[in-house]
Amino acid sequence: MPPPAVKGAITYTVKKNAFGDTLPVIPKESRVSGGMLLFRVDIDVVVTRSGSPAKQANVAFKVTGTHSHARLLAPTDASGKAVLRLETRYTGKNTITPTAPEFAASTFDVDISEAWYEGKFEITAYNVCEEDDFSSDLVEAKNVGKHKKDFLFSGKGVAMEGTGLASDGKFIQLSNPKDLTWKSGFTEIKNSEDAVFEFVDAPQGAFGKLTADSSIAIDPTILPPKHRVNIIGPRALGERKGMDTGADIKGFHFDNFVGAGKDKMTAWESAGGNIHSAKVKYLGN
Amino acid sequence: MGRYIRKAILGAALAISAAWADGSVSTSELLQSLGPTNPQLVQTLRDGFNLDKGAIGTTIGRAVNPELSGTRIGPYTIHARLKQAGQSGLSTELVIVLKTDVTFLDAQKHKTDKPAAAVSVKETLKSIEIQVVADRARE
Repeated sequence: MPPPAVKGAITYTVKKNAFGDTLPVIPKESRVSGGMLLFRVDIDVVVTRSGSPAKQANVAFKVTGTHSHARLLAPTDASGKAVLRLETRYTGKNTITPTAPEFAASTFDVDISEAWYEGKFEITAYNVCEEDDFSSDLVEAKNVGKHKKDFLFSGKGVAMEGTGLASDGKFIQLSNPKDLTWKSGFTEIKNSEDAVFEFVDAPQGAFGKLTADSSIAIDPTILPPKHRVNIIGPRALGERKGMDTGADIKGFHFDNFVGAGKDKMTAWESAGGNIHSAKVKYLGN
Repeated sequence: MGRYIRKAILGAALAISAAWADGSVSTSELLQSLGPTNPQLVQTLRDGFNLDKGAIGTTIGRAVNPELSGTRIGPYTIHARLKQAGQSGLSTELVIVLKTDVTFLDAQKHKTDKPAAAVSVKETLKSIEIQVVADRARE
C-alpha cells in the first residue's frame, strides 16, 4: 500500500512597499521594453506540508502572462516563511502557480494596473508662445494672414518654437523650417518671405496633440507613450499623459506642458517652479 | 565683489526682453553646463547672488526640429537676490538674464544657420544683464 501523498499548501500576503501600500513598484533600474514597464511585487508566503511548516523549501513558480516570472528570494525559514518576488511586464491578472504538484492548488492572482515609480522625478515646464505677448507691427504671412512680425519670425516666436497661439485663438505652426535661414544670433529669420505657416488644432507633441496641464514630455524608456501618471508631490500636479518627448528629457524627468503664453510660465514659477524628487504613480494607458 | 555687483546693477538696462516661448531648466544644471564656457561670470553669479532653483530659457519646438525638440537655449532668466545686500546698499529682487552665443551644428559638426538642419546645439555664456524688480535701496 503506497504511503499517503504529502499535501502541501502555500498562503500568500502581498507585502507593503516603501510607499506604505501594496501596489506594485516600478524598479528604478528598470526600463520600458517592448512598450511595457516592469512591475515588481513582493509577497510573503508560508509553505506547509501536511499542515507543518516546510523548512528550507525552495518552491518554483510559474506565472501566466508574457514577460513574467516569480521566484523565492531565499528558501523558506524554520517557520516555512519566505518572500516571493513577482516581476512582470504584463498588466492585468497575473496568476502565480507553484510548479510542484503537491502545491498546485495554491495559486495566487496579482492584478497589475497602477504602480509606484521607485525613482523620483524632476519636473520642468514648457509652453508655446502667444501673440498677445508680442509687440511688433503686423505683417502678412503665407496661409495665415496678418500677425505680429516678432510673433511669427523671431527667435522667441513661432519660428523657433514651431507653434504659437495667435490673437484670434488659433494655433499657427511653421510648415517649412528647413527652408529658412537665420540672422546671426538666431534672433530673427533672414528670409522671412519664404516662411510658410498653417493653422493647427493644437500644438503637436511626438505622440499627439498637446493639452495644457494634461500633457507631458517623457523619456519613452521610462514611461510608454500615451500612458498616464499622477504627479503627487512634493507639489501635486495631478494626472498627466505622456504625449511628447524631447532631446533633453532623459531618465526620470517630465516636462509639463502648461499651455500658451508667458503668463503660464509665470504662474508655474509663482507656484514654486520646477519640482524636484517628485513622487509619481503610474496609472496605465 | 559687492562693489562690482552694485555697478552691474546700476548700469543694467531695464528694458530686458522676457522669454515668451519658454521652458524651465534647473539653475544648477544650467550653470554646470555653461560654467566651462565662462568660469569667471558663472563664479560671479554663484558668489554674488542667491539664485532661484529654476531658470527659464527658450524652447526649440518640434515643428522646427524633432531631434532637438524641447531643448532649451538662451537667453535664460533667473530670479535672484543679492547675497551681500548691506554692503551694496541695496536689498533687491532681481532678474538676471544670461545671454548666450548659440551654435547649431549639422551632422558633419559644421555650423549651420538653419536650426532645422541641426543635430546638436552648443552654447557659450556671453554676458549677463541684471534687472531690478523691486529696488529697496537704503535711505
